[in-house]
Amino acid sequence: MTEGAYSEVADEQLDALEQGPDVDLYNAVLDACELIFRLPAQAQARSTAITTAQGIRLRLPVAGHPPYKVFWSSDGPRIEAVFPHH
Amino acid sequence: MLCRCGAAGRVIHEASETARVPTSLVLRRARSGARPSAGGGASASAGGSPAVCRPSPGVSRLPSHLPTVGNENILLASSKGAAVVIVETDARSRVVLPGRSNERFIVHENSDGSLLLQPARVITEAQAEYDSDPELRDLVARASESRTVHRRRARRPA
Repeated sequence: MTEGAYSEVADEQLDALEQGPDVDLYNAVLDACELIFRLPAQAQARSTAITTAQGIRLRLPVAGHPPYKVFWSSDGPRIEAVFPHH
Repeated sequence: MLCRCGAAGRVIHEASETARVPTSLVLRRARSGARPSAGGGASASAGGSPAVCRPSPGVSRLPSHLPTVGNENILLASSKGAAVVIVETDARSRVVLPGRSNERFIVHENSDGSLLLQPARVITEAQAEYDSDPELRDLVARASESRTVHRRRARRPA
């Protein structure tokens, strides 16, 4: 069970993944979210920082499912978005 | 300004006198005994580190802590005729660019042998993608501005 804060955008994206055909992808994304919520320092060490107009955002690869990435912010932390990104 | 140093060196022409704005530099090869347009004397001493000729007082804006020239070539020159600076590479190809500490440049060698130094920044691939992709910027902005949803999510059975 993964519990935490998501942006509305990420929440909708996760709903779409949950209803999609790729079970393994959805579970891998949840694993990434779990790491962010439970061990944010470790997640940050595995993430790339991006400077945006809204502040620093971190980009964590979804293990085993390139090019999927989880965009998250350290405030909270909060999952901002989930999508394929090279 | 005539350097007492010998063979080929590189002359720096500053593209702009604006100190705080990053500007490109052009390093032009100088021949042995070349005389830049703005004159001045230079002292010489042997040394293995990057070296710079020190023109006469009032000729250039070189910091006083810079070393005097090594035992070979070098001329300092400026584009606008005021300060002419001569620099030389040392045995390890290093050179001192006066007043340009901790700056980063892309070096492009022109067909005439001169070197163009363009101010540059190093950024990650992820940042470059974000900066160049309006769709991605829009998505991240929309996500950031959207409200927070607290949810508990369960893994799907395989």
